[in-house]
Amino acid sequence: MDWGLLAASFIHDLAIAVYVGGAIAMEFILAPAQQSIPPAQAQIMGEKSSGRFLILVWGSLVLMFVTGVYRLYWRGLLFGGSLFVAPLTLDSSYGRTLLAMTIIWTILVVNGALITFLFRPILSGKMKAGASQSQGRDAQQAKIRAATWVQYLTRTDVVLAIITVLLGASLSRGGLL
Amino acid sequence: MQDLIYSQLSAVHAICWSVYAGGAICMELVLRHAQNYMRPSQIAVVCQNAGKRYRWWSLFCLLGLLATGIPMSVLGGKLAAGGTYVVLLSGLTLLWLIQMLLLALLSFRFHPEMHLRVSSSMNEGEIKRERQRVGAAIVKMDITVRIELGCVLLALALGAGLHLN
Repeated sequence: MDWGLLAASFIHDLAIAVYVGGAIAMEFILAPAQQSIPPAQAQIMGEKSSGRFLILVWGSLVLMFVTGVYRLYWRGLLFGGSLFVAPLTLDSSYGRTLLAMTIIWTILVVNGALITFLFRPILSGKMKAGASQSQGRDAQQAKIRAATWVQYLTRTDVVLAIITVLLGASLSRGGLL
Repeated sequence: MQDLIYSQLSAVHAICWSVYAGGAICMELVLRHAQNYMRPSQIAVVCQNAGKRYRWWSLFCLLGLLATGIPMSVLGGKLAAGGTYVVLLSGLTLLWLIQMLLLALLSFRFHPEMHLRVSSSMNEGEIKRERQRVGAAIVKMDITVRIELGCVLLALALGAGLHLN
């Protein structure tokens, strides 16, 4: 048995489980639990849990890619005679399924970047001392918009991640598309 | 036809497994971290709420793993070959049983024990004993959850080995 491949498979499966299971736990377990406590405490819980979860998300996305590439390379499907070796071509179901998975992975990265670098700073932004009432209202509106976007993106991510798992599971039998 | 059924079973199996393992890891790494910044009274409310939902998700996922795992092992056609495949599959079955046992312990023993039962008729000594009882239940719960997490990681490793076989 190749221990490197075993380790890569283990890390790959772990990363996917953390991403998919974590997203579902955040959406269907932690979010409802958050609503059962007073808003001030709920905000602290939301900030701390989403901050930690984002670290897990980025770690998972990076590990998924690195271990996925390693596994393809080990199977001789990458960097052989050409960059992509059959059946990792668009002629075969395997190649098309893997392309779809790569596209979804890219969308997940983009969504993750939007949440981390665009919406989260707005949500965690504090009001400056001496801000006028209209500035306060604008900031509040921006936070509500950002929270709505984060919710949309998170739910899209959950659906996409589940589709990726379905596609990935089909690869052992030659692909789905 | 058999290939199609196997593909669908393995997809459901993978989703059940991802939700179960990822949920357990997320509860440990995310919820526990957030608890450090919350008031104890709020931690109890959140734990009760999240714990209840988490146990239901876990139960459905574990049942889903069983319901898909058995036909997959039959359709896979590798059981007759024996050897490492059967050893790994036996290990996974044993881990599944342990996970069910741990889930039952959490649901029917440790989680109910964690609820503080203090009434106005209790004296100081009784209240102290009640708090100690709850503290001991929390420690037992923590140990059980960590064992559960260890089993999850071990099952992942065995599962990865099974796919390479």
